[in-house]
Amino acid sequence: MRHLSIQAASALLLLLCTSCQSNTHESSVPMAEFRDGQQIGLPVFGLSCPKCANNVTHKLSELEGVTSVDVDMSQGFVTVHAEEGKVPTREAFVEAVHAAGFTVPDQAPTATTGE
Amino acid sequence: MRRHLFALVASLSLSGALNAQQASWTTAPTLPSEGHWVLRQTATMGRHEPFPGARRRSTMLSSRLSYGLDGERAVFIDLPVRGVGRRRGPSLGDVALGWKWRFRSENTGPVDTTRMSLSLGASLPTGADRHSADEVVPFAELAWMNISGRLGFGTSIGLEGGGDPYQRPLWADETGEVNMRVAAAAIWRIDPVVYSDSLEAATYVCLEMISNAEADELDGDHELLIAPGLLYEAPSFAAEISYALPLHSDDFTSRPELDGALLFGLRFLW
Repeated sequence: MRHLSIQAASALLLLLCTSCQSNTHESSVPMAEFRDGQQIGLPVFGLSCPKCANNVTHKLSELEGVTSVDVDMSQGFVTVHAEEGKVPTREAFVEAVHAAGFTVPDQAPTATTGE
Repeated sequence: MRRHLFALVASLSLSGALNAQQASWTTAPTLPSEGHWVLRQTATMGRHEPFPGARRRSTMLSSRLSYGLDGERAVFIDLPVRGVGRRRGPSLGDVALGWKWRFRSENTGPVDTTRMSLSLGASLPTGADRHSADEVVPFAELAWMNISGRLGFGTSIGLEGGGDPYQRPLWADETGEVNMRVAAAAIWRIDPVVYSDSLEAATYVCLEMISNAEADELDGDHELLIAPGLLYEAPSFAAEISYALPLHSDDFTSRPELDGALLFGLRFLW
């Protein structure tokens, strides 16, 4: 039984190692931030699993005026939709992401419209 | 010392090729976010060998409720129920209270992260006579994980146990000796290969190695287990199954050797 378990484990290990060769990464280039009258979108790093990413959704949903939160795990980008005129500030967004245990990478905003 | 070194080398041997996540037997430096709860419930069914040719079975149910204090700190309570399925019936074991601090968190890509945490706490003598250490027993554990794309690697090193031995000890933390537990996990995301533009469930295959060794005796009990498993993780819950098998065990005097242990688990986030 032990020999069988060792063989099974070795096979699994080999499979894992083989998978390293064809490892497909999500994009590591942050998407550009944006903010307008009804939404704000920022890159968020460290969304390593669906349950982890849901932590971000929970925290951002608690901000005043937020109606929904979209998480794009492939790009590491989170968009918050809010009532007109109640879009959270970048600072509030970053603070909520940090409270969930994740990071907004530093970058200069490339598109800012509206408020 | 040789046994600890052997366990550490065996566990870390996985890290050379692979990078881990939130596996079944290896503690991960993960926490609920500020003001949120995570409940993890597990059922562990063990088969033990008191002497050659004999078998003893055990079932342990365990619940851990964690509450996030902020992004990097959480408190938790462990509620174990031991002796499930035995003639004398199940009873509450020693309840543990703990504090977890994630002191390092480096997020370098959409899913890529490196994290480290320290857990400190103590179990309280709340269990029935046969399922209790009969005194307050402190524990400490360090955990580390790195996730890079589809692959993750994690390891945890902890000290647990002590107090009085249980009447019929079966697990490493029941013998009354201080147990050093070293565990390592490799996790590979098998689905999806690449995440989509929405929040979706993921399935992982896991391979773990667990070493239990008496920390205060050079010739005390020691076991090295290997545990393949599967993890399914949806945004608000996760399910896990893992089977631990002994690769090596020696010097067992204070409890029967473990012949195998099946773990089922569910985690809920809200």
